[in-house]
Amino acid sequence: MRVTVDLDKCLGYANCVADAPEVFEIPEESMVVRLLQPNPPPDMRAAVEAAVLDCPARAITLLED
Amino acid sequence: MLTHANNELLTRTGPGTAMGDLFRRYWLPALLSEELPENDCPPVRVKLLSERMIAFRDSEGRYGLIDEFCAHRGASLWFGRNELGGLRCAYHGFKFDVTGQCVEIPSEPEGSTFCNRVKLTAYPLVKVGDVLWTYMGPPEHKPPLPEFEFVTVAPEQTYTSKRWQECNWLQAFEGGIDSSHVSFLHSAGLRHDPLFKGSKGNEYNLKDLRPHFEVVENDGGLFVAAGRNADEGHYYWRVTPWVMPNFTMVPPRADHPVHGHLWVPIDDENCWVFTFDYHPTRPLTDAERQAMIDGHGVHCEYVPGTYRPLANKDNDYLIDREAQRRGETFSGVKGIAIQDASVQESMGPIVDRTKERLVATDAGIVKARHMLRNAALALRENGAVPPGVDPAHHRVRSFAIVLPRDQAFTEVTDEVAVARPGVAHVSV
Repeated sequence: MRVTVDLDKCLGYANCVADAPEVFEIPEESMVVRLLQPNPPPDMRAAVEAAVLDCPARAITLLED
Repeated sequence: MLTHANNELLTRTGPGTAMGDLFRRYWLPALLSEELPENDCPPVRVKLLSERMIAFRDSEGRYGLIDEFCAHRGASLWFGRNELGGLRCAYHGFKFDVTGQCVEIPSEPEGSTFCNRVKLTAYPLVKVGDVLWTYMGPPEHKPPLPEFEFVTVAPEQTYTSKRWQECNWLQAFEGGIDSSHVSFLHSAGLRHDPLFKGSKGNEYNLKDLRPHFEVVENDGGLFVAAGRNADEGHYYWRVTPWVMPNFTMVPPRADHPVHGHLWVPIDDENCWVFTFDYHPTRPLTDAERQAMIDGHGVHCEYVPGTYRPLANKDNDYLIDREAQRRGETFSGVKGIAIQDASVQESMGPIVDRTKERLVATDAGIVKARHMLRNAALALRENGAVPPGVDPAHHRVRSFAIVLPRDQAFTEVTDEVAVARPGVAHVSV
């Protein structure tokens, strides 16, 4: 499982941070997301899928390896 | 969601803050001209961007906005005597003119020149339309005067009020670019308010509760557009311009006057909401003006003798659950302005944006936060002139229009989102 974030689309809604805080964060001085784990472990799949669905900017993509 | 650091950056506007420096590059509404109705009238306390000042109108009609506190030993000049070309402190008689210059210290020996070296902080105060505007930034960067259409049309075409809102400016302003809430919080007003009712657009507003938002940057700020289903094959667009940092304009309904707001920080936990209503091509009717004075539309009723709304947080905004049950209001609170104030003040003095769960209809808000932050940081780091300073950016209009679904609203903004003297606004 591989995650990418399109930073041109990201506006910092940050629903991904609420859904999967182990994978996404908004650094304190930033307005957009930072990917903490581009290859999250399988047990985080549900959380990452929720982040993809909940992103109003449609900036997150989940790819299979 | 915002980080704590960014929430602090966007909400703090006192001296020395990044957002405070940004606000200090614009002309800001300080008070209504009705508050200083004649020469030598009583002075008025004014607090803006956390600075306490006194506004007065001298014997020759010149307006002044000076430090509230006497340079001598700090007494408030609100107690001052406004007489013979200046404001005289009631404590020991120090007298100041509209530039803040001390012009007389009666206790000093004859021939003393001490007063020449005593000066209070002062900002320009200029009447444009029914508003007295001030500029609190570096004098060398003072821009030309504002040219928003509501202050440039003839006096009989325009009306401006103001109200005190007991929360930070940003959460009040964010309501101004959030068209989504209209279908809920203000739904009953669209049916009944004399300044709204009778518009075909109201039907579209009330039928489609899931508008899709498109947010487009322009030279002075944003167009925040909400598209709703209209008749077959068409969208009903309501397009709200935002001119940085704090001017928003509500899309019009039918031939009613068009309205909007300037959201002005008093301090970090209070703001003034200056609210205008004007018609670009005709005088307001007596009935329209009276409705505005009576607090209809986007205006409100007041605690007598003040600019505090009659319905406020101390009386739970006079919430009427029975009226809510009867369908006369959505929330139980009466009036567009107080409906907004009630929910926005309920968020607390400065809402904690680290806890938000935002949705797609918050696109305008999210984008505006980016632009405010970028402008504040660019000003601080490079001295960049922020968007919205140039009066050319002020000559915008909101509009409401029905377009075929395959036509982007941006195809018509050059034509209909521009304030043109004598040309009617585009409304549905």
